[in-house]
Amino acid sequence: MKNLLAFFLVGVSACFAEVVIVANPSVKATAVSADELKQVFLGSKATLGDGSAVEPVLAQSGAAHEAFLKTYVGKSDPALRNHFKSLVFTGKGSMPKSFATDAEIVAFVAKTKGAIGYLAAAPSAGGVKLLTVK
Amino acid sequence: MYPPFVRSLIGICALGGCLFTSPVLQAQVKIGGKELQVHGFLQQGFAVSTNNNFLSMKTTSGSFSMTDGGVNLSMKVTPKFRVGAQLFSRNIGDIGNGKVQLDWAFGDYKFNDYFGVRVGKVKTTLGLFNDTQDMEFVHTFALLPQSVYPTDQRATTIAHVGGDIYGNIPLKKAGRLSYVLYGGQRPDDPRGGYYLGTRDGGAPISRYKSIVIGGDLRWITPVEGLVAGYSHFDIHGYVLGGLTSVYGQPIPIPGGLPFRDDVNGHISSYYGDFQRGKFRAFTEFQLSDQHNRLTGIPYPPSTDQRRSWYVAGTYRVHSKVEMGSYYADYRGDRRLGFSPTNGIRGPVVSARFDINRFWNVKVEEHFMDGFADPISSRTFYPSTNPQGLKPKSTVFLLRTGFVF
Repeated sequence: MKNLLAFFLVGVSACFAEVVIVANPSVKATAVSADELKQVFLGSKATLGDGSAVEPVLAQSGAAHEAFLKTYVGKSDPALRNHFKSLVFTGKGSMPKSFATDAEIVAFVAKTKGAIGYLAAAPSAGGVKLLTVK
Repeated sequence: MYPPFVRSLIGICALGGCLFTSPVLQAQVKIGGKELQVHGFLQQGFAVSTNNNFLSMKTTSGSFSMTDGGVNLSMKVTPKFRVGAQLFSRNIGDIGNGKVQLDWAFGDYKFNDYFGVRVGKVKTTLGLFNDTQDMEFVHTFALLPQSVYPTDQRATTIAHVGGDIYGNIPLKKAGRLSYVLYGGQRPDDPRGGYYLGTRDGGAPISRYKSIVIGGDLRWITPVEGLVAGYSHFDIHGYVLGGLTSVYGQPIPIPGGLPFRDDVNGHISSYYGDFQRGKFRAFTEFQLSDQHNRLTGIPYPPSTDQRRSWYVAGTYRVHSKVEMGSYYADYRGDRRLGFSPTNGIRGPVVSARFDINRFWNVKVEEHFMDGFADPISSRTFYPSTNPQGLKPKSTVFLLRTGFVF
């Protein structure tokens, strides 16, 4: 049943943007809106609607990264990097963690309270929860 | 040989670049279990111009005197509380002189997404780019439109020692509002263009003490990529100086005839920004009024009424190449029409090449009509143009930046 539910959730996410949204189990929400995702990944929002504190985690490159930025963030990779550099060098924000592979993202999200990231496919390893996009 | 501050910055950037561009090492820099983020940048420019020397550099014969850089440390102490500080130094012609200064240093407590507080020395939010004007690496252009962001006047608006309150207000289907309200003391910069201009004008100042209050309200509209906003900046203070010459005749008093100028002014800035995919267009329109009341010398109260605007567009033609252009217009007295002594205007074309994530190179050409009031402390200075100013000039810029 659990596997069936996970399959269903992955299916919903994949249909929307060809990426899977994952979060640390400390995040109470099971779904996020596209607007919440955008604001979280632009650093302008640090909590979800249910009060869960979240911290974005980025991929460094790849098709899932490009698809995620195009679908949810509305900025290209260079534009997003410049956005975060603007925050970092004015002191008004921190540089999010970024990783080269999905496995590294899963490992970091699994051990970091509030972490939220995206993957090209559902993770084989446990320790993270899947979020649907409302 | 680079001056000592440049060598220090190069050393810091080289060390930081080695340590902090590696994700593995990045994750290991922790103090008390908290991650310490270290970032820095170093920028070097070359400028060559026709007719007039630009920004106090000797650009008519080509100048490399355009170096700046900074390094910052920051830490998220708790999910809601961050602290950080940045050092900054620049050497642009006769401006900056390589003096290392505290650019910003503050604590930031974000109660929730709607309300946060920053206390310390904070970069001032004014228009689209006031707080990021030093960071060429986040912009397409080697120099932002000088009508609204004059490099030599940076100190006038760049930061305040005091505080901000800030936040985001969701408007459901109407998008959201982002706001900042601030107040504090404006740091003085004796190595800035304002001091240089007053020296050139025969009335060198020794102090400019002022407080600033203001705010910024921007509407992130429901139209994807469209932002519109308004900033207001109020300044109240006084300037101390000495009048050393009148109509070119020296005044035989050591230090000049002392004067005080009580200054009250404000800047209103209206802006719009549209980004969609590889394309971006943005514009700003700024009105600046400054009331001066002098004591110590017989000069009637006066009001400066300036107007500045630009319109800009950029397009990323390749993953590593972005092209851009803008038209900028500055009017020293908006009650008068354009003349070479009352404004600077003209187009700029630029290309940015991203060599990798840390290094970019830009080439840019400025076509300028006018030089404004020669003692306006802006763009062109009599001390570096002793031959007199010509009504038209062009500047070619080559600028490279390294950031980690």
